[in-house]
Amino acid sequence: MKKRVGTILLGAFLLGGIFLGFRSYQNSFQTVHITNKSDFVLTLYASKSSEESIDYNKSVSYFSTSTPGKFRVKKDDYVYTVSSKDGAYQPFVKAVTVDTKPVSLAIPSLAYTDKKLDELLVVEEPSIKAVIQAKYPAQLSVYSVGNGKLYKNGQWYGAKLVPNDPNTYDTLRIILKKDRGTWHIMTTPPEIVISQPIYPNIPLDILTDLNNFR
Amino acid sequence: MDTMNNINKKLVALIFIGLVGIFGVYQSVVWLSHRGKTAITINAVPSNSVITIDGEQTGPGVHYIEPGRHELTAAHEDEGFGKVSRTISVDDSPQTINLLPSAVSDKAKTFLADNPDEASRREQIGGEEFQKSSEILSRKYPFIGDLPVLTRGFTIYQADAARTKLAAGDAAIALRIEASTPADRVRAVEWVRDQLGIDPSAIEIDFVDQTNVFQPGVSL
Repeated sequence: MKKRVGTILLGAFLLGGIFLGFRSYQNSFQTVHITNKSDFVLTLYASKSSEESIDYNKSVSYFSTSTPGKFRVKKDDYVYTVSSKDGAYQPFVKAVTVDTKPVSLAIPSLAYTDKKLDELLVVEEPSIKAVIQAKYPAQLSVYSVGNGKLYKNGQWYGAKLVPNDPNTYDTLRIILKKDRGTWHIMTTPPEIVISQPIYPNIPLDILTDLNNFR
Repeated sequence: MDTMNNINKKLVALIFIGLVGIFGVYQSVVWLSHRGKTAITINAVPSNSVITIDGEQTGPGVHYIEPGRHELTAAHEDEGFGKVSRTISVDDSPQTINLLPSAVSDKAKTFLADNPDEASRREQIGGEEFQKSSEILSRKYPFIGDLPVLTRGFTIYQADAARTKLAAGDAAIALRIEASTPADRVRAVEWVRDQLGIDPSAIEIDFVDQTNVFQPGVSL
């Protein structure tokens, strides 16, 4: 009788231990929700140092996916990257910590690479210059449109208006934006410096690049 | 006699309990009506100005307002004071808002001359508002103390931000650059960036001596 009770108790302890061990193992993982688009690849890497660092070992990835879904990932610090399959977008890198709560990773809004923007510029610039010419026909007899550049996803264009006589006239800046297939001048009149307090809808990084006097 | 005393005591006790109860109910109603709202003290000079909060007429004093953006106006047209408007952002913290209807008309000036107390209070509030505004601007623009800049070829000084789009309760300055040649204007902007440490894109800059042929009405 005592032997039987002992055996039952031992069995109960063993089962309890196995169960607790299994639960502990399960709790060391967390769910990561991926919201992805088929044109992009999201890859999760182990972080080399602490939380918030984007230093990671590029040769060791936990998983790489182009489809949305749920993944069970060990609780730890990671770095995830998002890159486009056609290389048209700038890569994205961010640190993420997988801990007590489920984590959602979504594809952020990515900007085109400089190469892609340069390719787009060749296509877009003639119609952009036509818009500027239509608005300022007289002024473009003493100015020319130069250093044109596309920004973000190619929907912003900035250029310098360079005077034929730089001793008399200032170099000015102009910004256009493409909306529903048509380019619109966003800064009237063109100015030596285009300021964000006056044009709060124009991203500051575009203005800083265009206003660069170096 | 004893019975009368007992009745009197009971009556006094009942009246006292009744008063406490009424006071308690009143305080509860007041507390409930103010729940989720913030105390905003509105001062105006003239002190009997007509004040509106989001279009509803009220008067100066403490008002309990829900968090968010609200438009306040103050005017006293009978005495010649023009309307002044202010958009405020209300959060959890109590605020004091001073409104000074504009006193540009002769009637308003006569009113202030005839009411020295109001005039004095107006000056005091005006001084407080100026001090508050100066502190905000100094924090936002640490380089203000370095202005004006007078060097060979250009001058840079502080000016009102006439073209900046301001958010509610915000204040801004502009930089005004006097430079007679395109090259000097470029040097001035580089000075703003390199010596004052400001991204020229982040502040309104007005060029005094520039002829911009792209501006309407300016000929080549």
